[in-house]
Amino acid sequence: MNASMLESALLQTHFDVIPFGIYVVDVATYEIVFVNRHFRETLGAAEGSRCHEVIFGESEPCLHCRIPELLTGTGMPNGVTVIYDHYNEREEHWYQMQEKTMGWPDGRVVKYAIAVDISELKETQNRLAEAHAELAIRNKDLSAQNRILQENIELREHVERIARHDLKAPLSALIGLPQVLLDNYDLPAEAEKVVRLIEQAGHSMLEMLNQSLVLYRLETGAYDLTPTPVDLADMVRRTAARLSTMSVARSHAIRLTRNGRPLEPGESVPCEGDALLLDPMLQNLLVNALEASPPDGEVGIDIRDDDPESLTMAVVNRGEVPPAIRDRMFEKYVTMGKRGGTGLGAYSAALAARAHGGGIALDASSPGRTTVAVRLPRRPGTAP
Amino acid sequence: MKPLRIMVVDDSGLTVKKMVKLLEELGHEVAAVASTGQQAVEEYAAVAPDIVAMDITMPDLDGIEATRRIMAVAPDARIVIVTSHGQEQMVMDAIEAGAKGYILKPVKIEKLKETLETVAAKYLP
Repeated sequence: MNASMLESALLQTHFDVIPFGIYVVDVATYEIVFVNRHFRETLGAAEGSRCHEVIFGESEPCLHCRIPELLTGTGMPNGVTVIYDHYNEREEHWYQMQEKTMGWPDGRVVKYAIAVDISELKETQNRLAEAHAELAIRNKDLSAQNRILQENIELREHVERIARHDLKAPLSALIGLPQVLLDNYDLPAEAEKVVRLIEQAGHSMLEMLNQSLVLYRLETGAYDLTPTPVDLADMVRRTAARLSTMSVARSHAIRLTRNGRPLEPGESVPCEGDALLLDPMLQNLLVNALEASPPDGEVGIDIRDDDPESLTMAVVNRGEVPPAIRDRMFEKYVTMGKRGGTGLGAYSAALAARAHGGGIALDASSPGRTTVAVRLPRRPGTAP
Repeated sequence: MKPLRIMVVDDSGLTVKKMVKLLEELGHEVAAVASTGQQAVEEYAAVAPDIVAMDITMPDLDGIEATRRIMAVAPDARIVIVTSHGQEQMVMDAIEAGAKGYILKPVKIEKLKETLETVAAKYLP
């Protein structure tokens, strides 16, 4: 045995004891020069065949072949080791490949490749990657759905805006013409009554449209708050007087107080606020309290102005808000199931309070009693 | 489920052979085979498959770019990426390009079945 054969045998023995697959390839011809015992068990005697054919099942040199990276310009070993993960299509296994070039004892320049089977690790990584992919696809689908929803919302708002403005024009005839009828025609008493009812209905409708326009602006943040001096005591008195003549009041008494003691006639509680919001807010809360109150129950409104930062209007009635809706009481379309309820009264009251920089709260802690308190900062638009 | 017409795009003859076998086992029809991304883009419209099974690493045009180009001309195309690459960035790029599903090699018949059924149910008219 000459020196080169001895050296070759020694190298092969070294490679044989390594528990991973090793193959050695002539870099010029892709001919397999040697496979170690570990590889031989699965590959058989592959020496003499081309690596791309036997190991990778390709008729041409592999696309991923790294031999060029391992050679100098003159085709000699450059000392570089490349490490990469490779999926073997033929075996359906993942390998981590470590490759380097060297001089083989017979004088040829060869690449030796150590292949460590990492299929189990890759399997776990792949399942994770698939889970990520699944999430990403769902996110993409969700964003597409959200975009459609947003477009629908914008379309609905657009239609509502048009409806509100367009409804006002024919309404002016409904409000104006009854007076023309009354002034110019000698109507029988019954017909006059009917015409007045039509006029009233027109005014109510206009009021509702204006309120819904305000609500819309509050919701979209387009409302421009214009605070002016307001007398809360006067507002409370007027609202109570107006409602007490209406059927909603039935037999309820409305008790007005200031810091817990009866509100005196002529007494005033000045504050800054937007009457266009505060008037309907108080009316909504008082109507809710009257409707929720049991027959002959008393409804109270207490103005508290003993805090230097803010004022509070608390509307109190007997009866309880059902526990199921207490947390959602000021959300849109939440009603207590009363007939004709829109679920907008408490919601718009909350929007109005917030537009002032204040807030609204339900107190259901006393059994059999409900309190809704609106807090308004003394300087509207700034949170106290 | 009703048989689907599938276009298989992969530069590895071995993978194509395995994929065709699995698809036929599942009762689907292999409508066309393309061995490059470019070929897939060129033939997509004429083949009009229900689903494309697309490899990522191919010599002339990779699967992500081929997906992007097919989606540009056929936004409702249903492309499932089938690849040995497990890197998350590849996954995200393919999905960003419009892929509707993702299968990693080695392809298991159950996973292939499940992905094709999901994509068909969600995206086929």
